[in-house]
Amino acid sequence: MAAKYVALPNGVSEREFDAAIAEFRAALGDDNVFVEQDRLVSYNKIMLPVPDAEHAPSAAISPNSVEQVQACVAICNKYRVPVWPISTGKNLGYGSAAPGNRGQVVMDLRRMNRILEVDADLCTALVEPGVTYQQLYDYIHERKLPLWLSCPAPSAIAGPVGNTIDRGVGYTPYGEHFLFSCGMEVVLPNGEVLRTGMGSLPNSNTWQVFKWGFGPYLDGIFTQSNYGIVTKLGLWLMPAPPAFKPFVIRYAEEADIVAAVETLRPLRMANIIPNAVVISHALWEGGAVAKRSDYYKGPGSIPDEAVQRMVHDRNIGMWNLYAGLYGSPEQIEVNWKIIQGAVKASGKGEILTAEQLGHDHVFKYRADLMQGKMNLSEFGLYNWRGGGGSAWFAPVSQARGGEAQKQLALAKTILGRHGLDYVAEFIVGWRDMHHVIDLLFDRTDAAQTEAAKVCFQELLHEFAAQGYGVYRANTAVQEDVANLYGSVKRDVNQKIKRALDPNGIIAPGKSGIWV
Amino acid sequence: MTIGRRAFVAATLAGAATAALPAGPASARILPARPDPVLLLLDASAPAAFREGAGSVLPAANLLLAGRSAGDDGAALVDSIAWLAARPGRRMVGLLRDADAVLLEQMTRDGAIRCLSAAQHCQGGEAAVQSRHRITALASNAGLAGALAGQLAATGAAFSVVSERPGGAHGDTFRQDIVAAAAAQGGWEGALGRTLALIAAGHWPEQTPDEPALFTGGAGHSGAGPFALRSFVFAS
Ligand SMILES: Cc1cc2nc3c(=O)[nH]c(=O)nc-3n(C[C@H](O)[C@H](O)[C@H](O)COP(=O)(O)OP(=O)(O)OC[C@H]3O[C@@H](n4cnc5c(N)ncnc54)[C@H](O)[C@@H]3O)c2cc1C
Repeated sequence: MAAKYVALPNGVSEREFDAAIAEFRAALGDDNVFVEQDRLVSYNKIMLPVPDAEHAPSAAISPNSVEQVQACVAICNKYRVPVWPISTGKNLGYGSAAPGNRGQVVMDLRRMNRILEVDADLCTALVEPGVTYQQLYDYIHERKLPLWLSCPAPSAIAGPVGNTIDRGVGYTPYGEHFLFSCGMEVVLPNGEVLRTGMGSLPNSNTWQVFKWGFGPYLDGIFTQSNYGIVTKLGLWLMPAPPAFKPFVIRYAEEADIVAAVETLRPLRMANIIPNAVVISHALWEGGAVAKRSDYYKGPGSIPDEAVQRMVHDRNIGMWNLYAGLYGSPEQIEVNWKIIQGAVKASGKGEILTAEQLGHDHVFKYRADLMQGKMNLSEFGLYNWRGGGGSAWFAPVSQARGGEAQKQLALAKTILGRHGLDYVAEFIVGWRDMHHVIDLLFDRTDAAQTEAAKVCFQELLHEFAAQGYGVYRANTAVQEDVANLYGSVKRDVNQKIKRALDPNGIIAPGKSGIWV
Repeated sequence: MTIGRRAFVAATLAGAATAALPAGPASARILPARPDPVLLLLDASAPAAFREGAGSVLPAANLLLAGRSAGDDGAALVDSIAWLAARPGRRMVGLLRDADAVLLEQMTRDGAIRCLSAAQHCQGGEAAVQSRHRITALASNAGLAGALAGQLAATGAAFSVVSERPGGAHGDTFRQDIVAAAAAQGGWEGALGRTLALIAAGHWPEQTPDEPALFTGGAGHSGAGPFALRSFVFAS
């Protein structure tokens, strides 16, 4: 017999859940509370190598104001019903819009989508969680404001609040998104509303310009955590530069990653190259536009020989370093000479610009992202292998050539054991790199799905054994990652959770944090 | 690129089945001009049999071709979702490659849109079983998994069909024996198009919701080339 609910929250009876749903409906209206199978499918579409059922929601609720969020939190406390807040819910490859644990109610904040303020002089914005990058982009362009966004590759459909809260990255000089956020409003688990930084001060007009406020700086504890529901976020926007020059440096050999990173680091640290640079491997570069079966149909990971063939056919580098220069034409000219000199001195790499590659699809999409323009091209990666499986493994590395090479070798060895491809890029900060690897697998193939699951665990543990940890983790491995970061950190996280959310109603298990 | 706000070109499925269809580039997008409440959204590389199967049930359906070619910006998807959500009672049947299907699914998370069927279809690769299908078992597509398995069995090639209920407890899948159906015109792709069109039109007979199940059968290769596609039916 068909069950009444797709799933139930842990420890909550059907009768209690009936009562909670009735109260959600009274608070939000029937149209904003979903329990029907056919409306919950899109909240259960994970791409991870675990059964969807482990992340099945019991319901989805969609408040549209701070007051409605507070009302929901009160109901959650009354019935001990856990909610999993999402902003735009596009966390693909990290758990999508599905809850971290089976039975949690998804709190979908997409209806809270007001752009509350954009200040073109101070280059700041204040937005609600449902605002998408596309919406903000349109707002800026319709008003012809001289401002640029920084967005992740899913740009148009994702949003600044969810991305920043999960500490995501973009590709402009403001690419380290949390660093360029300023001030939050948070509904706490007891229903109180906290404004961080200068926002706690009545009548403050400095909430979006000064991050630290007075006393401990709290914003960080509301990222990758479950201590509250963020209902507003301040952002710093980049003043549109008078000129922009995107370029790519192509490297022919896999071992050239050392030269690429060593050449780049001093330029990046000195802000001669100011943006979050990408060094993408051929399998990412080609994988976003080609099909695997065009190059290889045999068993195991795609062999190096086939990758070489793709590099040759598609006229791409084995590594492709994308960066930009921003500023006045004079500044760009000076910095361009420095870059050309550095690349020449390294003896490796070929520099290409829009003059040579302006027509090239991949160059164009990279150039768009480096200007914070909306572009969904990278989704092409999902056609590389097909089958709907994707899980990001994203360890942090020092920005050193030797470290990049060590991580590359380790990753390829582990992926090779499981027949998966090294579809990867390095996103370079000032001193660190996010080594982002997309484990692409076919979810219709049970053996490959299992291989991806085992492979992910080996990646986590073998990288950790070398001292490397991930910057962000999907919802199926939160516990494992939390354990790798050690018991003292887990303990402190838990103590804060107990103090702020004694009933454990907000996203229990997020980042391995439980009451 | 800014997605949204497109100029539409009209076509209907009946007309398009014989006409040479423009595919891919933004300038050649096709969007509904007819009042028919069903839109067929197809990847340019989707098997013709699927379109013909759907067309046999819904000859007046509107047709839109998608296809993530270089330079394609997903506008066909945005347009189709906007069309679907614009009026209650509309339906969308589709077969897309993964990249577009993932994007489309992300756009359906809107209170007004319901999913009547969703499935992943893969062929080729290194898997032991050549033709593999994962179906989200919903009340609205009850019986689809068994029917598809019957059609696949009729081809004789090795296949698997997994049917999973949203929230269905892990591990309660059981294997079912299937009986090969009489081969439909257009093979399993044609039968799938026809079935999804029946679901969209509200003519698919109501059945007991599918239990989680695994159907397997056949042996060897079908000879068809590799592909990875997702099918769906959405309703507003
Ligand atoms: C092809 C592809 C490329 C990608 N490239 C990038 C990239 O370049 N950079 C990058 O960072 N990511 C990338 N991603 C991953 C992901 O899609 C983005 O990070 C995306 O921005 C996250 O989705 P979202 O913005 O909708 O956030 P959401 O899904 O809304 O939020 C993410 C998580 O944050 C928490 N959360 C969200 N809102 C709240 C709230 N209001 N209060 C409390 N907690 C909350 C929840 O745990 C939620 O699951 C990529 C994905 C794909 C498929």
